[in-house]
Amino acid sequence: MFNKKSAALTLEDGTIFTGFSFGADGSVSGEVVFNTAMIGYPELLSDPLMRGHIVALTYPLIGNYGVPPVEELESGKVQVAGLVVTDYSEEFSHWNAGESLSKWLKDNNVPAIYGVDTRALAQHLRDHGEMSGKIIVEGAGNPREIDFSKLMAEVSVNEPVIYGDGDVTIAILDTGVQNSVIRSLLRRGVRVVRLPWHTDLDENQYDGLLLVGTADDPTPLAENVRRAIEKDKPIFGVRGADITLALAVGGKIKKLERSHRGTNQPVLETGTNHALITSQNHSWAIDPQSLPADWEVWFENLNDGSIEGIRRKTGFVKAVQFNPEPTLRPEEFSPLYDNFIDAARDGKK
Amino acid sequence: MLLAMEKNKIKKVVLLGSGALKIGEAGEFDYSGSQALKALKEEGIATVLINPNIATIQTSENIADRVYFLPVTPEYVEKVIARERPDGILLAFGGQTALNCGVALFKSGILEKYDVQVLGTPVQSIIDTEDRDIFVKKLDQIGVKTIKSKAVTTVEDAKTVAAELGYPIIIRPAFTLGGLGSGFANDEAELDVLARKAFTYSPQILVEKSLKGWKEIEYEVMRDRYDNCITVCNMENFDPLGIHTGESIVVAPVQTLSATEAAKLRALAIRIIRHVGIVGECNVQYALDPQSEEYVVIEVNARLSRSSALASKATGYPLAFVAAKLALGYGLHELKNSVTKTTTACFEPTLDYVVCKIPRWDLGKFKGVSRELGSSMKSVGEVMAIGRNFEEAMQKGLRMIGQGMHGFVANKELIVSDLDEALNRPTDKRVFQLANAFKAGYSVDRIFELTKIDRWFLHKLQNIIRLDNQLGRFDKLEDVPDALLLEAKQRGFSDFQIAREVLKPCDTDMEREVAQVRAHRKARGITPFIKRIDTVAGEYPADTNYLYVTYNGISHDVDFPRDDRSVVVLGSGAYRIGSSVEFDWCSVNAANTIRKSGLRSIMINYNPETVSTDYDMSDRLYFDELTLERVLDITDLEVPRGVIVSMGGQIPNNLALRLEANHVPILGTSAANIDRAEDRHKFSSMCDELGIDQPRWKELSSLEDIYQFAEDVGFPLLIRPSYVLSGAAMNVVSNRSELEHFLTLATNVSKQHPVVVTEYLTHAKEIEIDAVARDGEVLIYAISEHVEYAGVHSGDATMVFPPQKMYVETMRRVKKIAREVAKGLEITGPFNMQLMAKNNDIKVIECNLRASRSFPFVSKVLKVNFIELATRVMLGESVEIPHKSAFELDYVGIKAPQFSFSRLQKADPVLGVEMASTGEVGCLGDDYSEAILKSMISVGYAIPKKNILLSTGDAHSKTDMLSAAKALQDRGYTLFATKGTADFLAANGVTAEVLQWPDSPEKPNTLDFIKERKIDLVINIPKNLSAAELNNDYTIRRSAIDFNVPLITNPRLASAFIHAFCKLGPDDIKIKAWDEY
Repeated sequence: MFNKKSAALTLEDGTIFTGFSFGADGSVSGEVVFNTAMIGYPELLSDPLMRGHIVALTYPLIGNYGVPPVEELESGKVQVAGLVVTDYSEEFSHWNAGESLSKWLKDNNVPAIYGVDTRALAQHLRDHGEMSGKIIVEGAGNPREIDFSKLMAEVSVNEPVIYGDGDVTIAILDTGVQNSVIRSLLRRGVRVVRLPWHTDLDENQYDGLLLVGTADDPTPLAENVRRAIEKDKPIFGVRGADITLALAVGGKIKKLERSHRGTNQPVLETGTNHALITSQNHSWAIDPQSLPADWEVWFENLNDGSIEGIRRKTGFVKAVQFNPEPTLRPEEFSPLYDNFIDAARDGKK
Repeated sequence: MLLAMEKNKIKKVVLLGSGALKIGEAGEFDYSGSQALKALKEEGIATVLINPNIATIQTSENIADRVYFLPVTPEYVEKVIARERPDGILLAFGGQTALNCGVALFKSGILEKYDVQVLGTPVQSIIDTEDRDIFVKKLDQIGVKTIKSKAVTTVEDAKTVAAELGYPIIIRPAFTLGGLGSGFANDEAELDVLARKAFTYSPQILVEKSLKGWKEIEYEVMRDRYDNCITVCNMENFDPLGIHTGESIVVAPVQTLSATEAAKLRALAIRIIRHVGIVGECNVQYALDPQSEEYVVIEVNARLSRSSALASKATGYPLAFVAAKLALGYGLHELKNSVTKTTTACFEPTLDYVVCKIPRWDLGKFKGVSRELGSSMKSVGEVMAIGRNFEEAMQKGLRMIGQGMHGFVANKELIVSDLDEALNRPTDKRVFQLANAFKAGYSVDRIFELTKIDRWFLHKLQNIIRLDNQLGRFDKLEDVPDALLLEAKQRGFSDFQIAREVLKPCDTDMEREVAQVRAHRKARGITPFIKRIDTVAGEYPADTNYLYVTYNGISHDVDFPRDDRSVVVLGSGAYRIGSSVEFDWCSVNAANTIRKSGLRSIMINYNPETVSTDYDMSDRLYFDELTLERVLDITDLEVPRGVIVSMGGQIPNNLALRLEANHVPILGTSAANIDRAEDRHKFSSMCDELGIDQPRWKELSSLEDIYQFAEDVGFPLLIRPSYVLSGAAMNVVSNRSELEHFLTLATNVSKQHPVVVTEYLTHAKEIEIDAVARDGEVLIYAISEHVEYAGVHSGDATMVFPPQKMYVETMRRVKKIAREVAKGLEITGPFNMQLMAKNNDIKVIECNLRASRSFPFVSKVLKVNFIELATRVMLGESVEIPHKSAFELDYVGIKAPQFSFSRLQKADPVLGVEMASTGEVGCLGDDYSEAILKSMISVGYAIPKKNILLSTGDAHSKTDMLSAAKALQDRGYTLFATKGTADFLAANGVTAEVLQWPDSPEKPNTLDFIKERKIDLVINIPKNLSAAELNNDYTIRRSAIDFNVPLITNPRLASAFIHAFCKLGPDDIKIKAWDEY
């Protein structure tokens, strides 16, 4: 097939998984996480919130359908630090594929390993906790450490960017927003302003604010977001922005006993029989005891009961931990976005 | 809460089963029905099951509260409802049979009359999905695309629509399953033939534009009463559209779809299930353009299906169990994931492996059948292989189907004259032609052009060829690099394949070479790992016992206690003609008994249609191969107390000697004695020693010897190889040229086991005895008789227990012979013997030291579980000898075969020494006639209304049939007959109108009468059992099948049926539950 070059993933605790390289030559370090999604590796790998992570896919057959045109993905490049899989298909087959996964990774200078028992790796991370690790491809030296404090700056825009036009303006605080989130807002006929992550929200005019999660600790955002909440404009947060909101209003967070990493995470809208299957990628959650009195739990995880969404009892200030995939799962998640836009429109009247 | 109210209201529920196993409706419904009954039981709801399939798990003790072995037809179900007065009924767990019956009961107002609530999916939703026209309109309302098609009710309309759509077109009758009566037509002439036939199955047919070459994708979706939906599994067909999904290799999860495509189809599936209003489970089949995101919905099944059983096994998610709970009113989020036991059932399983389903065909068993695959299902079983890459799963699967193949490569070469044609026109052997094509230098693109199989799959198969070539460069195992050997194992190569490619042995017996490979790789540390199927890809800890074996791993998911408290049961493998649900019943009962004895049961089996592969049924389930290599891999790790080889039919039985040679303890009768029974020569010598009579026989040494033997004994003669079940390559020959022909055929089947030629008695009674012995002493036995004379394969015969027409003297002698054989072979465990009785002579035909097809039947009729007893004996427990005797029974059990000829185009529906039935039923009656009627109606016969066509074969069978013909005349039936039969009847005082033979231009003609369905029952007795059957008789039989007119081809069975329905009317048939006998 192609010449095999060996590579290894070494975890912080010294555990080594060996395999063969199919990405860039070189070495890299990062936070090692697994993901149980069976499909959608181009989307996952291009997700800005995955930056700094070495991701191991438990589904063993990867590369089958190559990589779609990059403009269809979640960002313009591979965001993960490294990729670990069991079986890689260099020969891909799909009408919409432009190139192989291997070529994409190499072009983005991202190392990748196949031939690893990723089930065993996931079990190890599950039982011993997620930890950092490094991929070293045969012949490469030790990698430099990832500076997590810089991740937000790396994924955010530097200057405000305006998309589309419409009767209301939705601001996105870009701490790593996915293209699909922007597209789903635009589809609703609104004007979108994508703001750099450090933008002072006080100084910005918008009808609604959309928050996305962060690849690392969101504490630096808390004060800025707290002031935004006081503005009483509708706020909707997705993909972990519930944590940002909670921190902004004095809540606390705690590490989950087991991270949620996959596309099959069940949540229940609190107090209803409305259950949703969601895509999640997090290892922290809000401590329910720490929520201020005027806040309530909106969604909870059906498996471990952890908080998957919160809302303020008054006004439209709410956020979910999961990714309400607007493109992939419109049947389930459209209402969440629709309600947000409606609130923004109502607020403007 | 509403929920509490509803649950309190439902106290008793009727569940409809699917009846006998047939092509398109097989073991999967035993599995789904059993799961549903388990779910109801958990809720404390009383259950009443109607299913005449006596060999199923669901009709066993302690599953349903009440079992009726009655036909699943509106008539009988109504009678049961009237008697039981249930609150609710479940229609979704018994396949199309149950669904159709339920719709009929609903439409006729029976359900309303008795105030029976349909639980789960409302009947209207079922009708909406089943009626093609409504279905299309319904999906139009939500903007979901369906196949451009039109429902028509006449052949002329079909032609008009086809002309509008453009050929090629596909035709499907509405309200059928397994694609019965459907097919492709390339022009109007083909359409004419197809449409006429389709209308015999359904008053409405669908004419569609063919989408040959598109991808075929399936989704399994669930919805609860709160409108919560999940998709449990998606699957992709390896074979593109054009081949029925039951005939396709199917892979789960999908492999070649992008995230947007998969998400789109998922969203559509959810939109559909919501709009149709299903509560429970449904299956959505799509066609997807391989060049865009264009799709159409092919069909929606508003019930549990073969695909849902596969999805359950592929993911570990118990679809049927959860569907039953949803039908009772639960929400998905209110139920637990029974695999992890801690997480919720409201989630979508994620796999960290890939499964491959491969159909099992038995087309070689049918005379004249077309081997080409198309839109109608012909396969009789299936396997599911699990691997952590596609090559591993595929090669495992190709071994599992049990067609003598060793994987994708290293097989006996299949020679074809035109490889392009073999690739382009799919047959049951096409997958192996792909290997030939690669070896012949075909590129992936070229094969894609010919097959339209996605290039991704082809590239993977090419990997196997590449490895095969690399292995072939070496001649010594020591020279093969470890990395290559490991990669070969990771890509699914068996030790056999490696032995063949590297060691290149020239003799056929490769046991030594295979053992060398095993020893070598173990020495090199190349051994497999055990992984769990846990539904969550390791994200949560799961204590599941659902396991498979893979080389793509570095660690085991389980520990091996090795405490001498585990017992392995080898299951039956793929269902096939001659080995199906009966052996699953035996395997499951053995596993249950092991557990009851305080030991741990370990099941090995790979058939997704079974209950034995439900991980609830044993302490550990290895969903893996039943090859010597794999069983040894597992016993090496588990080190069990012993292995039971006598429950799963011939596959485990054949492993006995080799397992023992590898120091694996075999429980029960020793391997050496199993061999003494299987090996003709050894068995006969023993019979001679014991003075037991047997038909004269001769082992094939030289042809001259055989010809001499034929001259001494005279024709007809029976030819067969040793060690076979269901008569593979078994034939009766009536002259020397046939003898030559079939000898060659039989020699090809098994080189290891010699061919035997046996004297063949005609007009002899056939008797079976099923028994359990301990240290050579018979503990319990059941003697049954066949309705048909010897010569009809025992699996195709109608069996009566206790016997009604047998001399006490005969029974005494049979018992005596069984005792002597049990002693001679030192039997411990189950055994079965087939004997022939003519006048006062009793001859032993064969003896199997394992459970037989009839064990569940006799166990349930006698109400003594033979398998439980046998298992306890094999475990060395002390047992009390049951004092129950068949003489005390004041009722009769009859086991009748189910045939699936209607699906096997062109096959001659005639019975012989090769088994042809796909399933069976067993019914109880107060007398012989009642039991005959119930069982015959259960396999699809109806009491004829008026017209009966007789064509009764040779003089002997004409005489046999005379009294039945008289009875028909006395009951006022109108008789039609072919010329000779009419003359014979007239000479004996029976009037029959003459119908001309099919090839005659004269009218009235038999063929016209059958086609116009003026005949209610056809009795056509073949003149002899040889291959040279008169074309006319074939045409009559085949037309009867094609035009859905009941057909009987055996004089003894025809007489029994006729006398029964002339004696009893429909109201004489009693509605009695099993426990009331």
